[in-house]
Amino acid sequence: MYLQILKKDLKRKKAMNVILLVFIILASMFVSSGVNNIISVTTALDDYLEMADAPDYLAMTMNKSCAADRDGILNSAASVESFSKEKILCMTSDNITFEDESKTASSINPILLQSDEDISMNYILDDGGILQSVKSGEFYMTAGAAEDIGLAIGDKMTVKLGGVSCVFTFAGGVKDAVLGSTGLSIQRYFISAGDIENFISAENVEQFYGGELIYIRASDMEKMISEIKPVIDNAFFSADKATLKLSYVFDMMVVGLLLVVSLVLVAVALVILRFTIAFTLSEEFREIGVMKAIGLRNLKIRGLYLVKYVALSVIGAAAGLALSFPFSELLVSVVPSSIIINNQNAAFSNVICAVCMVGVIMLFCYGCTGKVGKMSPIDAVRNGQTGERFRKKSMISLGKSKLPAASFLALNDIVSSPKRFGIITFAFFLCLSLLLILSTTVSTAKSGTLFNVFGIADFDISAKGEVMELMTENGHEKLKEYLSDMEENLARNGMPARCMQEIMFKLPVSHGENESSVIIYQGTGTTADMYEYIEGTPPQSVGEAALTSLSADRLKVDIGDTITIKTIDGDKELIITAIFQSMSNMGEGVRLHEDEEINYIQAQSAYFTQIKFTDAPDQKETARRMEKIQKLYPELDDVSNRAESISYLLKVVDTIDTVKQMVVVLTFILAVLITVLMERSFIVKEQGEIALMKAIGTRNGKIYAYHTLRFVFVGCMTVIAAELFALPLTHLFIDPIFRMMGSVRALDYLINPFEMFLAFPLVILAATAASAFLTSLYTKTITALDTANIE
Amino acid sequence: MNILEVKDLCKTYIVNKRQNNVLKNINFAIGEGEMVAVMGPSGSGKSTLLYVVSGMDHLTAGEVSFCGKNIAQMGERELADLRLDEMGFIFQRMYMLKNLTILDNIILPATQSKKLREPRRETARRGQDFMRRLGIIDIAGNDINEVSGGQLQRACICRSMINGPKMIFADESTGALNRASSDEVMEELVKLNSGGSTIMLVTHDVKVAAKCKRVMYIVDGNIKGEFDLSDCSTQMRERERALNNWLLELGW
Repeated sequence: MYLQILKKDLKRKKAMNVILLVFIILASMFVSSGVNNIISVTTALDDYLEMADAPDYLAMTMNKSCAADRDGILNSAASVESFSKEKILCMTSDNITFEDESKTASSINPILLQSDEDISMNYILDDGGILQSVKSGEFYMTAGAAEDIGLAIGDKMTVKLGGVSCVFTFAGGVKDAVLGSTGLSIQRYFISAGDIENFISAENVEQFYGGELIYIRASDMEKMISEIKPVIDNAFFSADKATLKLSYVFDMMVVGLLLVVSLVLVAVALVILRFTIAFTLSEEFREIGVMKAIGLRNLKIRGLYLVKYVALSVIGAAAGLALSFPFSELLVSVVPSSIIINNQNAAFSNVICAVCMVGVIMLFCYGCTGKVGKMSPIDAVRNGQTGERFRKKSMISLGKSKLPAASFLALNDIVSSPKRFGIITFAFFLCLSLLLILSTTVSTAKSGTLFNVFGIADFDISAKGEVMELMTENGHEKLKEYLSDMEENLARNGMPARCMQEIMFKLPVSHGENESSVIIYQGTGTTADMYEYIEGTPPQSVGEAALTSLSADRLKVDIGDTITIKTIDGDKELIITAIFQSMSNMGEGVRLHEDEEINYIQAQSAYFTQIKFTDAPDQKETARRMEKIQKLYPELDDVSNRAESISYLLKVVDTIDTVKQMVVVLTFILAVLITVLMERSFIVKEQGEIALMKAIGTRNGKIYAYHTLRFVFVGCMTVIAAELFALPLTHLFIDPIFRMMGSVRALDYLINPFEMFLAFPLVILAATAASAFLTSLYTKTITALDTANIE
Repeated sequence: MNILEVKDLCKTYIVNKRQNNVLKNINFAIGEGEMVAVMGPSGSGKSTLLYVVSGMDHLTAGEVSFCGKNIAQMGERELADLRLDEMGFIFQRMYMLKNLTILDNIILPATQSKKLREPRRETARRGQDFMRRLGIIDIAGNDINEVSGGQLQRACICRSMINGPKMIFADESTGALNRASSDEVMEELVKLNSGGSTIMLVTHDVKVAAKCKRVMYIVDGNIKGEFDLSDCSTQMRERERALNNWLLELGW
């Protein structure tokens, strides 16, 4: 009997059943792909590091600055289970040129050249294989960097080092789990053992450029660090697995956003599905009343609907499952190429999700059919409400309203059924809020206002010069001279400016028993009061320093305490006068007073040269000056304005922008789908009322307007709510991400007025209005005559 | 003067590839201020006739002239305007919009009418006046599921009257009501007719039809006869008896 009733039901209520089926398919697709992504991204980093066989500890040493007996120390350390080494040649972007001169290996970090001979971990190739060897004359390099440069297989590269020049052909990108994160972005170029020998055999190359990457696997990390301290102290760069993971914070920001997108999709799918099931079941009150009147028991009646929903949910879940695979791939495609999202268990998790969806639908259905117990035969007679449960429906009065009839009816429907329209508003709100959060994040990141959270002074233009060449013992003086010459030259050319340069040193810093290798910043051309501090007063004189809050926590230092910095010229004691925040180097850092003496031979790297014009030019003039400076200094790379420079430091801004664009498309599609399906189901439910309106002389146009306006009002409510909550939600979701990167204070987000108040609200309003209008055209098929046929 | 003139009206449905001639060459006219009942057995075509002549359904052939305008030549928009401003409808089931109060349902057509350009307060006042006249003013603010069937049907009469139509079409308007409610509703329709409104109603009920001035009897899509009650006694029993006798002659 059940099957026969089901067959009849599916035929008779075709429209409603098709709508429900489409929602089940969508929900199943979103949930399956969403949950799969959630699983993939939350375990992504661990899976990736495991896949790459990443070490517990990594140290990069340079032959010129590390005299310690590395092998001896590592062999004698009891806590070192095993270690392996890769020989490297440490270059800068100046050593590399590409056949296509527009391509540069621009990087503020060192660039490593190494051979395939002593590979110590898994470098994953684009096709999923592992790099085993490199043919002579070819090179592989970090995939993310290759993508940034725009390299294609077959492109030629020339490496000039120590008087040796060799040409290599690009053979492919490799995923470098330890140094390839967006946070570290140290480029690695792999060539054959024979090819690297050409460089090493050249005079002084190994001594000046040579070094080692040491991969250590340890049983006890703390013990190991103290046992191999001489190696770590002399290391150019060192990091444990936790720090390596932290360096993926930029990449994980995108992954995190993907997680939020997936969660929003799952939430929207479940909310809408729950609503649709309740909505379609509320349609059945008359039949339920009749069944009760003829004596059917509640359980039997519920069973009838459960059978129908089992059939629909199984079909829908199967279709949704099939669609979830390409959709999942689409979502994951935005993840930066510096990380691998292991999607191998997609099939399993998607199937489990689809099965769960059937269960969830049945639970929803069981919950909704619970109302069967409350329904009485009277419901069959009284439009679904028994005399005891009358509820005031009309909230506003047409007689008192000045609204046109169509607007009034639309508004009246919304206030009369707040739950129904509230759910639709909530679904749209989730989508639009996500868009506004992304928009605010991207516009803030691209605005250039975040220079202070990177612990640098304000500037108008930045450029990358060859300042590292000045890093000799009296490098500070040379740098002052270089910047002073630049200022004079700029002034001569009508561009009065202050030129500044941040130099970074990685040195051991201690406070009592606490010790850590920390990045030390010293600005040249700046004064300590040009930086932002969150606590204390700027270092006023030599012997004073400021510390990031993260380093202060690690070293257990407070304002007024003294820290000791180990330099090659001996220990230096500094009093901490201020705490600052920095998103560079994962939040660690010490800022020296500008006159503090430090041997620049220890300099690890340099930021871009900053130029701050003293005559406050406008944007147009700044752009003109950028071109002028590039002509004056052709050797400068990447002459950029402040916004471009900060975007470069934030690294994943473009990827977040891509996620934003994807969410725009998704939001539009979702808004259209939800509106079309909802409006279609409303038409089915309100068929009688539409026929009646036509019978009493309401024109089709007015009915279209009435139906469209309901969704326009919903869209407007969504926009108002999303605009109101945009900034609080951005603080709620994005502040923790920036906090992970080293920002301490809540950021002052900068909105993009065009996107915030026009473009994105329009996406929702246009999607809802257009699709509601087009769907409402279907009411044309309902005629005044149907009044006679209303059930 | 005739408000409605019907000439050679035919209506054909195609059901399962079979032609079903529901109305066959119907000819009649209804004058201003008349109250005409259409009677006939189930399936005879009386409701179809009502819907076709009121422009709710399309005719297959013939001519229907309402106030001198041929509705067969009217577009959907013109027909909608005609129904809104010049016609009133009362259905067997008391259809109303669920989310509106009784008063709002009554004044809804007036808020859309271009004929009556009046302030919304004035429309509401007129709606309340109609409700007062029909004795349902107490339920003005109620929802439609809070009132009895009789009250709801009287509200439907108010709605049909709100735009001052030239003619009211009633399809079994008392069919879903008990006798007492049915009498109340008919009393109101008779009052409206006395006030000058033209009414065409479809009914099965001899008691209801006896209150009309003229009765048309339709069988198998043909008007089998017309019975003029205008000369009959004002006594309802006698009118009913006379009508019953006539109907029996026609095979009722």
